[in-house]
Amino acid sequence: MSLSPSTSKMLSLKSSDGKVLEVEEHVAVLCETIKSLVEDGCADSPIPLANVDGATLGNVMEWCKKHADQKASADDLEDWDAEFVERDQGELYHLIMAANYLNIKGLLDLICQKVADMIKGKHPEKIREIFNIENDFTPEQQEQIRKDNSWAFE
Amino acid sequence: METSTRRRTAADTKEPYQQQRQLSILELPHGILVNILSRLPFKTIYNCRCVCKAWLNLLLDPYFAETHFAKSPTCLLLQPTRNRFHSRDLYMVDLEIPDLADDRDALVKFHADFHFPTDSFEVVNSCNGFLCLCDSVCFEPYYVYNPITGEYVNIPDGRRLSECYVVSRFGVCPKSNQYKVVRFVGRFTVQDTFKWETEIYTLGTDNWRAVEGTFSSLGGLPSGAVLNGALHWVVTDRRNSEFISCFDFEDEGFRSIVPPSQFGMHHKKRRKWMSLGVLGGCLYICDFPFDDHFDIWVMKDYGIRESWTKEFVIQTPITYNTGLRDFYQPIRLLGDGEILMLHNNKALVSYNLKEGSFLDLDIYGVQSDIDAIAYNPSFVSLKGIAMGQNLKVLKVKPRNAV
Repeated sequence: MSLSPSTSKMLSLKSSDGKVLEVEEHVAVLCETIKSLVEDGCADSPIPLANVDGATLGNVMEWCKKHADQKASADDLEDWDAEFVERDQGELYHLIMAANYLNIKGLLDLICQKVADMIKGKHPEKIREIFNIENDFTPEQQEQIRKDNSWAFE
Repeated sequence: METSTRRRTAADTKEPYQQQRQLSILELPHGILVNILSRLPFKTIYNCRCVCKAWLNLLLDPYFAETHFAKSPTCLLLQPTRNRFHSRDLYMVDLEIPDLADDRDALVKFHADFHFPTDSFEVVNSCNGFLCLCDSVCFEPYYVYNPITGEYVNIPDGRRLSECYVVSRFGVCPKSNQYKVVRFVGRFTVQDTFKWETEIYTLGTDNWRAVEGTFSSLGGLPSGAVLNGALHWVVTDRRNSEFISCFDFEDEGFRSIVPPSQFGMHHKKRRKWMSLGVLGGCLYICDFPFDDHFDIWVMKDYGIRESWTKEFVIQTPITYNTGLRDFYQPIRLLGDGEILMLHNNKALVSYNLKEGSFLDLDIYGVQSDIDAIAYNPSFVSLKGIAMGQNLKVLKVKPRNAV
């Protein structure tokens, strides 16, 4: 389906908390889930998105808008994406859940990579601290796992 | 789209979000956590196993192993050597790490403490993250080993030392998914002629089987390459008109592979200096004319003669003093128009195609000469790959740190 921006019509998207967002169709169809609805002629107005809250939906559409912009160069998008993912963890996870639900592979990859980069190179204690994860191993289990994965420790 | 949801997550609950509720990483669906953790470098994955029970279980799950393998970039496997003596250590190098010379995370070391009648062993080849190991005298295959999981299996009947010469390769059949080791056993007959026999061993079975079918030449086989379920080698016997021969792991038959149509008599004459390998998933043949360069021909569509392309011309520095020709084995394409190669079977160099120049590749913690192959590390268990019930999977203790 090719839709040029000039002829693109508007779609209404309704978030889980009842907020309605007007988005150009060529932007919204970056979400495979919405694209299927549009193609099947099932795009009721407004389209209810029961798993995405208003704030997250706004962020997702901001990303889609940038990535639907055919004038944006690859370098430009890369810089823009790097800035886009500078958020706190909570926001990132909401974006991941939304990207997963709306089936936007590019956005899902971007955020998953961002979270992976936060873990990369860190030791277990540091990972627990950053992500606020409780150590639920018993001391014996801990020792065994440490042994089994010993090359991870210098 | 990630669909696997083993954990109860925010998305599973019926109530819509009120305001943005604070989510934690542990609330993400299983499939998404796998997506995130499968992007990590090796050492960090081992670290993540120690974080909490949920992560440990997730990282030991076959689903993680499969996702990780599909995604993980090709690494290097190094075996330090000294005067051709191979060390019992194996190093895995994560080529995605930008500063290989100084970053200790670039290197993971495995101590392969196996029993070999000879003191040392060599890596025959790798297939889907599993290594086939042979002794370093007769090159008899002994073990299939996954260094990442520490698991290994014994290959039966590996006790022919000093009677013969063995060339073997390990591969997987594309259709049946059976893993097999093929060995070509050469020995002198009573008439004092050298005779080759072909035998095959399917992982999970008890015995080697003889393979029917004859072929006259095995010269060039030691530098053969496994791709698409077949072992390929350059036929170096002058009396044989074939150029590239191949053994199919699936139907256990021999075939010919056509060389580039541009190859003429002069190419044929220097077959014994040619080598085969795999670059970017394609079979290549390295042609070393007596000149200041060598050519890498790539078969872009497997089995299609017209797809052979002289893809790279490598300018080589001339070593005047020794009169010996340097040997280069391309291993992997790197980003930025570079090719990683093994130089004279002992050092890593990268060749910059644009500038036509070589650069020594230093890696943290590696001082000695090395043997090197491309390697796709895998967390997949050997238990999952054998067809029969008779596969006894053993485990070596990982007790290393670099």
